Amino acid sequence: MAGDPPPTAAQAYRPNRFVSLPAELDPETYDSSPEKRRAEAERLAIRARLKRQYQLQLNNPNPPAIIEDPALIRWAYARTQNVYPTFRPSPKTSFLGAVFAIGPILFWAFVFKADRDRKEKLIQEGKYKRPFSVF
Amino acid sequence: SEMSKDLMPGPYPRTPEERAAAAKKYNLRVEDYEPYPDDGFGYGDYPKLPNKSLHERDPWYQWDQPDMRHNWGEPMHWDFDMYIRNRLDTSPTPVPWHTMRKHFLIFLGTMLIMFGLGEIYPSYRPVGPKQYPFNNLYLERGGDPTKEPPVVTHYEI
Repeated sequence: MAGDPPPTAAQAYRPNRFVSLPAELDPETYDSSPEKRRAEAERLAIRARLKRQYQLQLNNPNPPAIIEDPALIRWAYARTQNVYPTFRPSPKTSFLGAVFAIGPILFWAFVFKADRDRKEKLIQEGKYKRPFSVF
Repeated sequence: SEMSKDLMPGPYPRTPEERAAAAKKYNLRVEDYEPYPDDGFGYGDYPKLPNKSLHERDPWYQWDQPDMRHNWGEPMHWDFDMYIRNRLDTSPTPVPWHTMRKHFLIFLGTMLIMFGLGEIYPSYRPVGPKQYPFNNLYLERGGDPTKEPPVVTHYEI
């Protein structure tokens, strides 16, 4: 442990799922290699193609009533209609289903039964004071 | 809608050709495309994008949809509606998260311990029982005005 180099600023920051690493501490933002640059150029090409398609539809003299966004349609479809066909009972899903779906039902059934039994015992022994009822 | 079935999300891609086709469908590079792990959770071939909120996107770039900071056709995060600018913000903080958490827990712990100690061992100035005038408020407490009230003296000479 004594021989470890001191932690870098990025390591000292410890990004987690609530905060991301600032760009100033991220070594990815500096010293772009040719591969990174080619990747960025390809991403820019895809982005430019999509921008062009969108602008052509937007500035059309006879514009369509709605310019629908295929990414939005895919997002909505994936979250609603694509879940059931792609679902598969696996150990993880079965465990989570048991814990979150069946667990609470059994838990609350047990709690209510225990509460009722305790109240019934008190009533049988005569120790229970009936609450005043308006009806 | 009118989109064909091969433009819609589908099952998890198994072969490299399916991966390439899915990347093209979602307008991503083949190297950038990474589907969610195939655990049967229902994600299918939807891409796994970095979990960054929309707060981190460049506010000065000319987005097609400026309020959502989203371009037409760009793949949306699975939890897009959680990461909008009204909701979760994952932008970097000036102080690291673990430092903030440590300071907060130290403060909260100290305050709770001190309040707990104050409940167990209360400390106040010495007090005696309250002394009421007019013979311990004989008439106000419903005493009979025709009778003589019992004399109450609170002093000793």
